[in-house]
Amino acid sequence: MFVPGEAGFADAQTLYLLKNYGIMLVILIFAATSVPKRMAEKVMNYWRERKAGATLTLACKMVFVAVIFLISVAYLVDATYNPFLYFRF
Amino acid sequence: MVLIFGITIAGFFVPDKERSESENRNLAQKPDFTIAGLFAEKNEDRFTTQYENYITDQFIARDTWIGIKTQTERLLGKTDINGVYFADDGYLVTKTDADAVDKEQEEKNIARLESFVAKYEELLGAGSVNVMLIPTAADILAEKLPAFTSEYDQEALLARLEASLGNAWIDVRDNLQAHDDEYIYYRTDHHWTALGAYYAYQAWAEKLGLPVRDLTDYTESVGSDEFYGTLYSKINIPMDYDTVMLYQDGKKYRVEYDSNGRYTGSLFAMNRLEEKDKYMVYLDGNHAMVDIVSENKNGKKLLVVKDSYAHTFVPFMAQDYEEILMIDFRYLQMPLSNVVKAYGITDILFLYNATNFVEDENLYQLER
Repeated sequence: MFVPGEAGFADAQTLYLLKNYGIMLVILIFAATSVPKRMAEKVMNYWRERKAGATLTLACKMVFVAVIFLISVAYLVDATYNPFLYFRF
Repeated sequence: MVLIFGITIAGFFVPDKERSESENRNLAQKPDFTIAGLFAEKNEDRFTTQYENYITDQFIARDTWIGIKTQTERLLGKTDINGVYFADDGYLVTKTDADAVDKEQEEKNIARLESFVAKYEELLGAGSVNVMLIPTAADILAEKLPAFTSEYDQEALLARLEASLGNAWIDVRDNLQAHDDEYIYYRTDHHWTALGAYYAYQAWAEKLGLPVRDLTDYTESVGSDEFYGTLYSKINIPMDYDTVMLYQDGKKYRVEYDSNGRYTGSLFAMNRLEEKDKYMVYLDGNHAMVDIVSENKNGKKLLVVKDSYAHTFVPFMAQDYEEILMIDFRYLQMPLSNVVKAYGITDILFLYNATNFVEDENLYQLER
């Protein structure tokens, strides 16, 4: 996909794939660094210095994990979904 | 914790479903536990395998989860999901990537069609064999597709066949293109609408030198305004319903499906409007063989070699023939030459949608 070939650096297909997976790629690159971790630590330190800190931290963690869990379940269910039996008209 | 156990516990209490309408298949049911089943020889007979199928099929609110997955991917900027483009104006369009089309199959099918036409033109006379390939929404509504797609080039295929088939070719693309702002394709289904088929009928009648009936010559009625088609089933997110229109010519017919000896008097199977796949209202959906006898005793007997795009087309022109025999190679195994002889066929129409034509693996039957 990124190899410069006959079509030059980028053909229409590259652009299409970039458009479809670009955001995902950016998220993945970002998540692969230590930036998110450091950001989370900063926020938690900030909260810890205040009163409501512990509860807020716990709530955030729970929501985060729950959302990831829900999306994961959705992808798993989708993998077993097979609506194409009559697709060949 | 609540989530993990909640889903499982709720699963115990929610009654099992027999069928998934959106997938058009029966779901796995709870297997009976037996010691023998636990140690069954074949994997698919084993209790544990069956139980696993049962759990996945009966997962609580399955369709909703599919919707969640679709929405997540939409948020991440995906423009096609499960082989369906999200096109402008609320259209879902089947994706047929150029790279995904088997070139070998395509060449074979083209060659088969060409020799089929030549063979029967010789047998039945020039002008008695016609070919219509219907471009799909991906071609006619290409402007609505996301940018930079690499769709299979249907236009090139049609131009090529127009050149090689000569007089047998009937071009419907111009007519459909001229009406591309009208409701000629369903938004949630991979078929064309009856209105689309009417514009193709115009091109067909003109080519054959028959009088072209107006749309108003047919009695128009709404079959259903709550139709969710096959493309909707692939993504399961809220959409506007499609409308199924019926155009009836008021003539009497005798329709027999699959030579089963039972006759109906209509080209429309109204009971299908109660089911999920309402496109089946047209000539009762897919059958191996449909035999239509009209009141018109002009001695013309047409063989239609077709896929499901023909179901909406035939009701517009059924009255122009004494008998129409529709054959679907995906369900029928019978040498075509025998059929032509046995029924005294005088004309042949080959009608497929363009992408289905290049990908179909049953066209070897054209040679038999």
